[in-house]
Amino acid sequence: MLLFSQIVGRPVVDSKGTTLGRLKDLIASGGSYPVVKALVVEDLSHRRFAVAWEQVLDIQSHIDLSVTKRYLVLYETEPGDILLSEQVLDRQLTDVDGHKVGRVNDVQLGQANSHYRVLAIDPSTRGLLRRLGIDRAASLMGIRPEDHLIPWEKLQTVQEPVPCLQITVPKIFIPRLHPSDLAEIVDQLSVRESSSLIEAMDDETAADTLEEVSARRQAQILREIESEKAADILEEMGPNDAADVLADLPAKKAQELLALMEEEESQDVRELLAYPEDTAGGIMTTEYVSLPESLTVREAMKQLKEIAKEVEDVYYVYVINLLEEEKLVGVISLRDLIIAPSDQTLAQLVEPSPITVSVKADQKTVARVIAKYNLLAVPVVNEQNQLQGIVTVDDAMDILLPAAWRRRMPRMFSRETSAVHAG
Amino acid sequence: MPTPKESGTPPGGAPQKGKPAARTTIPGGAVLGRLGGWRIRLFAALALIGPGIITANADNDAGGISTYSVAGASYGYSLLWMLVLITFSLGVTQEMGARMGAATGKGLAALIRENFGVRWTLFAMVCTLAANTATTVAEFAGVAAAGELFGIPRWLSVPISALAVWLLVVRWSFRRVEKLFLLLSAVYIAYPLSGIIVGAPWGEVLRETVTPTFQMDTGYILVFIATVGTTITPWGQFFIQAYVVDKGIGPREYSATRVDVIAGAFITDIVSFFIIVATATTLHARGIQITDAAQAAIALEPLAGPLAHYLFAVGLANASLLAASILPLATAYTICEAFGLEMGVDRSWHEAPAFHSLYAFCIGFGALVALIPGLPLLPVMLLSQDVNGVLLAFVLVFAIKLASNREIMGNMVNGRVGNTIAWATTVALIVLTVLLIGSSLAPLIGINLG
Repeated sequence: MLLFSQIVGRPVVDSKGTTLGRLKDLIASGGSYPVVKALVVEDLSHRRFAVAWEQVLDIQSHIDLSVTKRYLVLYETEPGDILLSEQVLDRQLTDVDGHKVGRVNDVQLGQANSHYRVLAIDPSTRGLLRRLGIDRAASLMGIRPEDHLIPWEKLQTVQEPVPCLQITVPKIFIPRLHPSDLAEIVDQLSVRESSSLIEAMDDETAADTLEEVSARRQAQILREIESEKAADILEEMGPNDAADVLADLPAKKAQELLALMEEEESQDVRELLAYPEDTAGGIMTTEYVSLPESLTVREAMKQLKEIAKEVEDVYYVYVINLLEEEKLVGVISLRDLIIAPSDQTLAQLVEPSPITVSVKADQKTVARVIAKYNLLAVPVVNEQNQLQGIVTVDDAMDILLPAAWRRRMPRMFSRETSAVHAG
Repeated sequence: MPTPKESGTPPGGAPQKGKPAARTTIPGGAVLGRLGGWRIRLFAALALIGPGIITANADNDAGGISTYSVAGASYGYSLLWMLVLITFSLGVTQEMGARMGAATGKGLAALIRENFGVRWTLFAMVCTLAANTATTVAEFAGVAAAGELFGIPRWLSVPISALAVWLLVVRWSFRRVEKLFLLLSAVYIAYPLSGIIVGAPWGEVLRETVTPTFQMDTGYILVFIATVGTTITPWGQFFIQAYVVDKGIGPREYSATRVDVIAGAFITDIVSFFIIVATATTLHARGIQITDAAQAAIALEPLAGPLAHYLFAVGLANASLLAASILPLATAYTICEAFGLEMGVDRSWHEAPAFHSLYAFCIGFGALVALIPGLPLLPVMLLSQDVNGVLLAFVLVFAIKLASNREIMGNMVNGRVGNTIAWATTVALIVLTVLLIGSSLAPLIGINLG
């Protein structure tokens, strides 16, 4: 992921190391997410020329070209070409009714294979602060405005009354995407392109993005990208999500990826894979917090601090009996734990006869249980009443809601959402 | 309102040339089109009168009138020749701004943002906000002073006028507000009248008007520069362009606007001319020193009778009210343009919340600060003029670069003569600004230029 404001102004250097000038603009064209075709360089005498993108080697700190000045192939602009700095950056944005809704503060680019695509524009105040280089200073002062992007395919240019960029929806429906919600865009691109996109992301962002992508596309992408990277991403995903994806892959590929994953993680996933997909076992996650009933509240809180670092959802604490082969004794909500006197044991605090579902229960039954008792998660037990995992409410909703809605629901307890709430 | 059914194209295509704004709001234009000849053109032209005259007259605000009163009282007729030159400069710069608005359909802040980037825009916004705020405070201070000339205490006159000014723009339609402003501009006639009744020696006046003189003392330079700075202001540059755009004036209607703008420059300077004449004839002749407009009004009475006093007082009240309505509007336009927010006097609160909030805030803040007991008004006015001075050079450079760019302006681009005059004005202003800042700062760092 690259922001246009980050690379504009960088020196452009040929293969011999001679500086040819500075990057002033990018030329892109084609389709819903245009490909960057060329870069515009301005030299010291203020002459501008365009260099075809194929000659760019690297853009990390300088823009390194693969040829010397003599062999430079210049790019001729064609109809339909867009100049990002001249025609997009700082332009007025309006909604479909002509209401002004801000200006383009930055442009988000994404890498696919060796070329870049224009993915989205950033009209947010955060983008403005970033462009001025003061967003870190501002966030230190507690000023953290929201980040949001508008995908490129939702834009068009209009000429009347004044040339500007128009978002093709009314103001209230303007899509406000969080940067990691580029999953929508990922789904639009071809498998090869979205794979490259995912491959270029860091593991955590890739996992977050992949979780939002359709199951079919997930499987396709994981097949395309390098196995090491795929394994890393799977490790970042929750075990039940990883299990879901692996279940969709051909057995050989799934085994290969499992083998590449870290022992602990792959173990969790293998356990989940053992269950049929549409049962409680198939949709549950093995990430939960369980504590022995003999602990006092004080000791429990201490341990919780450590365990919670590894676990996504900590809304309930599942109390087990260590002496009786870890049978489930009961459930305590975090709230109850917090307000309890520190000397009480978990056994005294716990609600007996907790609501559970069997590992073999049908997934629709699980969903209904969660809905009926207004739970955030329901524990899944085997025949010996031993805790096997939990099913969280968002996974339950996935079952109840029609497919078209699923992608639009925010994941309730995902890392990404909590990151957003934490500002 | 632009219709939503325009067919848009995916972003791209050849770089956009200066395409005009198509919105026009000429009343009855369509009907009259069927009748013949010059009458419709005149009628249509009259409907377009406004921006130039109003903006130019708002230059004669409390600070401006004070400056001219002081100029006349302290230096007699010797500064009159300068007014002639200032009139040209004002006409040229305002015309350029109006033409840019008509050609591009965008305000100056918008063009700066789109062509010079975010950092320059931020600089301009910070400076503009500071200067405009200080100037707005000075306007309300002028309202207070004028009110006191009529015996109205400031804690009454300021809040009432702030409320009145706010309600005016928010509740009334653009056209009505505009008509009211034009009416207020007519009240400036008070000054020429007072200039005539004091019985000036017209032979001498005319001679001094065409004879450039210059004195090498600080007081003179300061007044000299203040006179320039109070006429050509950065806010004025932003305002005329934003006003032209808000009114929907495009290239077709522009020729009427050009007349309006140039007329405005002349009218405002005729007013200034007579202020100087009036105070020079009465106060300078008797060596009476004053430091602001209110003192001028008071000082006139024993010398030229109660009528002169009265005319000056009315003039001051009028000037302050007009400027107090316009300054906050200029600020609101400028900032909304820079950030691409919805704006316009005819938009409702709901449609353009940022615009209206800014307008209300500027009025409220200006009025409140002006009411602070013991606020040193002269330094506040001087400060606003200094910041205006700094910013003016930049703003003019931006404006000229933009207005001489054929890609932006199409065939309404600056002509060679216009361009030369504009650049000459800018250079002169930069030199003067440097002198102004230098001489204002000098006392601060201990240099006595007295």
